[in-house]
Amino acid sequence: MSKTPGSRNIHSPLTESRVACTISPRFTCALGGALATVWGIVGAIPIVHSSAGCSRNLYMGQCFGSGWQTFGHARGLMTPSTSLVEKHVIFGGEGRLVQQMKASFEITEADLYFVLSGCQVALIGDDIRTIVDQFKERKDQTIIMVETPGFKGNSYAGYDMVGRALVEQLVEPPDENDEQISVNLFGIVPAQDPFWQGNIIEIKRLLNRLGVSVRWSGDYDTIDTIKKSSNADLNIVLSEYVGVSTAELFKQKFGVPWIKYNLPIGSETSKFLRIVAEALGIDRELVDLVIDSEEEQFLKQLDRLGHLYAGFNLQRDIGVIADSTYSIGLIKFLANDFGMNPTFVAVSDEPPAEIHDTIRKEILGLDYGLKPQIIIESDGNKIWRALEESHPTFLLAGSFDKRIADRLDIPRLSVSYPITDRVILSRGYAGYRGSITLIEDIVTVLMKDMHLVIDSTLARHGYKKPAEQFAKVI
Amino acid sequence: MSDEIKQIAIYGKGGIGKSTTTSNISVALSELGYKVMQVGCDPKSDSTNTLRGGAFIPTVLDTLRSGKAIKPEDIVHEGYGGVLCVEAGGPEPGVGCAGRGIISAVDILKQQKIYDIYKPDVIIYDVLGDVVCGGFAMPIREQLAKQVYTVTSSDFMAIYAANNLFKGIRKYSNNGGALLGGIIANSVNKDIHKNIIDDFSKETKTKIVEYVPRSLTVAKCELKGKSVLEGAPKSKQANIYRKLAKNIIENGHSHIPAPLESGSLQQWADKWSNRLLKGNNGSNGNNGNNRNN
Repeated sequence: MSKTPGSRNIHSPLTESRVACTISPRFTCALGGALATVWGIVGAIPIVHSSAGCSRNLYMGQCFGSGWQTFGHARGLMTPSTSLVEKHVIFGGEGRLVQQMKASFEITEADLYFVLSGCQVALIGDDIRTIVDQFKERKDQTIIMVETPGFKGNSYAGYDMVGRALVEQLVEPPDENDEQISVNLFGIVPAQDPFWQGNIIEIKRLLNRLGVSVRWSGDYDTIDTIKKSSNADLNIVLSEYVGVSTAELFKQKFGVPWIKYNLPIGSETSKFLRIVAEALGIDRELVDLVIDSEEEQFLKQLDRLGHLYAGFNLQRDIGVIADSTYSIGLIKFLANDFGMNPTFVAVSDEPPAEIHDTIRKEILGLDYGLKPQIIIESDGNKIWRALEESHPTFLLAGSFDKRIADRLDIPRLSVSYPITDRVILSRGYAGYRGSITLIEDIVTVLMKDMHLVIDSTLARHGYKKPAEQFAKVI
Repeated sequence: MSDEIKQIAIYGKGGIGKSTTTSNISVALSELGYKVMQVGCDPKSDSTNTLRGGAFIPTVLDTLRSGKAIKPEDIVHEGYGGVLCVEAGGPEPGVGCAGRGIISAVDILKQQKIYDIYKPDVIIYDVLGDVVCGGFAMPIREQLAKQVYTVTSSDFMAIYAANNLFKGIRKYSNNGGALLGGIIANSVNKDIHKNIIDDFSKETKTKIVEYVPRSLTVAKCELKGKSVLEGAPKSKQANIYRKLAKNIIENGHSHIPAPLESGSLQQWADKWSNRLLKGNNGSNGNNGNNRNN
């Protein structure tokens, strides 16, 4: 297909020189990430001290964009919020917060209330801490507060703000009698990673097989689980930077060491398990046994794709638009395990500048000497322009990228936020099982166009109207 | 008097004498037959006190806070000499956003068509201190005021605030914002005060509309809740304010000031402190930052 010049019509008529902001960013704000993280805790209810509209819009933006996930009881659309208007901005919103907290305590039941604040109150300087402290003194409720003004960062930053607040304000000192080998997991942001729960479940399953129990994981933890998380022997951060500040604070406060291993997909999982096992001093024989059995199952399932893969040549030049965690995880899997040819990666989560080199190194360290083009960019327009130049033949990205995929006439699978063309509840792409699910999803998309392949195959064999002939055959 | 409303804004460091000066200008202009509206843009809401016998009036933002329907008579109150008094109001110190308060108050005045209803000839905005944020730049930015004056003494911090105001004016000057009418030199009792302000004016390519001395008459009148023109109409000070008001109303020239950048401002201040320490320029040897009585 010929390349279409320019990308002005793809999404917005604005040209680069006129755009001072990011077009189609693939995250919401710090408050959005913080809210999603709190929604993912059992029995926790957020109380949002922010402008009218913040929590509702963030709920819809963050969660609907994450494969239409929803959260119930005093969460999601029902999240208690102070819904500030102009007079609160001018005269301060402290009184309104007190009122909302009292009302929320009266009509909802929670194990934990989490007071989160938005941009406006941070600008006007409402003294939230004093208000929360006064409620805390009554000891009627467990309350945590953290200032999460949207302008302080994106969803990923909000996740760590909540994480640090929990470490600071909820986690209790370790119990010396605890002898269970256990870990906590950090770095997977609920509803920002659409497959968050599925991913965590798979990582937990594998760690359990090694005899390691997982405490605070991000998968619907109870307050009690989080409180006792300091008994963990190790904190595992599953991202290059998300969760690092939480793990670091955890280490400072409770002395729990942490390691970082980017979300493993496919055979990377074996390396991941070995590193975790080594850090925890787990018997090598057990580790080998677990990895062997997992790999065997993984290979058996992968093997059943062999004929289809080879017979119809499913190898594609793959473009990926995803956050750094997924970019690294997906590209490694696609290149090293699945035999695809990754040609383009846009890392879209605005990772801190100091880890850009690490991200590039991770992505460029592929087997078979594959060197995809990498851009670290959150602006949709810039990503699409670069993608157009690169012109892969398959795209793993989000729903924002439908139009560019259509324009380039290439198949696409939604794997990164925002995803509005799939419903995602249990699905995960991490680990061994997740990687097989990912293969199923990718190949299913490729098979949608398989009639074209069949047409051309039949045409080569002399059929004049291949589609109709084929229809008669079946 | 004239078809077009003369709209001016008066800025300056807190405590420098803005409200005193503004109220006296308002009364002086009303003596000349102008219908004057004075709008206090300061959460302290005491700009118009000396026009109302020392009493506070309900503010524009009080109406916003109460949530009741706004009636013009709730926010416009007649003061001495028929001066129409309005106070924007704002939050308690340390709470909320005073800057947003100014923006909202001015919006309310516009929505309520206060200027159309009362048809003043002159509107004077008395604006809090420094141009610290967008809210306090509102009268400059939104073309509410056509001409801006700054009240300053020879005190370095007051000059710093005036210089900041000049930066604000310069910033908005390309977009039809208000321009500078001039400097009102306040508390000028000695040559050194005058020399310092004159030099600052020269450096910033601005002009001085009047020199106003510090006077006990002002303090005495204010203690009685009165402007000088009301409390001591025949005093020398009252005549100075009359002259100032006349200069302002007749001043058709506005210009873009040339504020000193922070490095140059510091150098300029150093130059004067060195000169003062050496006891030159008729100084009594005091540092220029002292306010002399």
